[in-house]
Amino acid sequence: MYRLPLFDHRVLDLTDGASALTGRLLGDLGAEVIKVEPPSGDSLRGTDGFQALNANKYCCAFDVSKRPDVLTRLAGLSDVLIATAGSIASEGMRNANEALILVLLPPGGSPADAVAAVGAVGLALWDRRRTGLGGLIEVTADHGEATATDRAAAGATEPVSTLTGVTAVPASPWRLSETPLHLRLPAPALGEHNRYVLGSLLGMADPEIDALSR
Amino acid sequence: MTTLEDLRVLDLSNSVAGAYCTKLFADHGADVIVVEPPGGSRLREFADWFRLGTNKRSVTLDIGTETGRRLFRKMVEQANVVVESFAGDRMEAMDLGYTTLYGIKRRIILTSIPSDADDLPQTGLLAGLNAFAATAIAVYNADAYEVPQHIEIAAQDCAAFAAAFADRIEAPPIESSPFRMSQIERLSGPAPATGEHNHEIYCGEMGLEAGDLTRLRAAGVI
Repeated sequence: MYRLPLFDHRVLDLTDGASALTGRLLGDLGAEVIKVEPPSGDSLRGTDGFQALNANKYCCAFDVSKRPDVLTRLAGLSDVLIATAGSIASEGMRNANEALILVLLPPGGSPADAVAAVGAVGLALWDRRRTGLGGLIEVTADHGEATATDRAAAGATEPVSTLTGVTAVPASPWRLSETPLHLRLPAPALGEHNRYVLGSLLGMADPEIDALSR
Repeated sequence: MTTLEDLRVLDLSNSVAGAYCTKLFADHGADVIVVEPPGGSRLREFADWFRLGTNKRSVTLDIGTETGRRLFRKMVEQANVVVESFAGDRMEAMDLGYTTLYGIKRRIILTSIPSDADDLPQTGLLAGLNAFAATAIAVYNADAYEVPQHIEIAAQDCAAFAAAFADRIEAPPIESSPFRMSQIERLSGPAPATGEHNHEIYCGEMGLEAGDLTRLRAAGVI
């Protein structure tokens, strides 16, 4: 039996809303994905779309703008950092960790962008084994002509974000013979893993964690 | 900046999905070899072939012949990935299935995208993008931890997954790779002519003699 392809890799996911799909897919592939979320919560929290976009992730909630140093320290312990272009995460993060792979997504959260980003991360990891260096991946937003593909023909009923009632978490569309992908974790509660991330990983004492979590 | 020249992909596919999957490897510098029938891949009839074939090399080979299959297995020894789009168990029937390839190359990644992926061109591109993503992660994992994989991608699954997250299914751009990397150069070479690299690969890299190529050509194998 083999472990999942990214079993010993850590991903920081700073994205919000629909852009969170890249992190979900890397989580499906076995990475430890830590969603860094503002104390006010992701804009889709409370919707079923949130569940589908954030399954297989941990959540650490704190105000990055007040404590950029905490984010920098986390980046030093991570392999990949995902952010939306123009948001707080910048090239500067790579100064703390030259092996870091920084992924900048265009706004909009297109599923095709998320899939492209995952492939780019694979190439970057291959390259990093040879050079020891990470790099910057910029996913470009220039899609081909908008497709006329009928969503019903594609087997879907409603977008997850508008579903109500039963939570639907669509499984990854990739079949891997040796390491089948599956849902290991439901989407996390806000700040559910603060103690693990801030305490176990960064070595903060409880009072400091409590102060950050407020 | 580096390239991915030590990452070799053999492309047996004759679908938009397969060609787009391997194009994304080729555009970022991987060594992609299109292995096409002596008459040329049927994809060459498509107006978009010159976009799908960028930065690849081409050899002709009839894997319907035993000699062709023997040569292909020899190529697998030096490859990281094989991409194919045959229907059903055609690869097994030619003794080129996952078990056989794994026996030749322990870290092989076999990516199968059945060619019904092209029923709609846009879903073909989306399936190709998904195949690229899963294959890129798997080939890294194979390199780092010696894990082989047989990856199976169905266009319908990819479209349904995308549709669950968006009102409109967007296909990736066929013109160029949808991402830039600071550490890996993005190439802009042309698509190869049919069999353009036969001599370079068969003689230069696999040790055949010019006379062998003449005989193989006369027998219709290349």
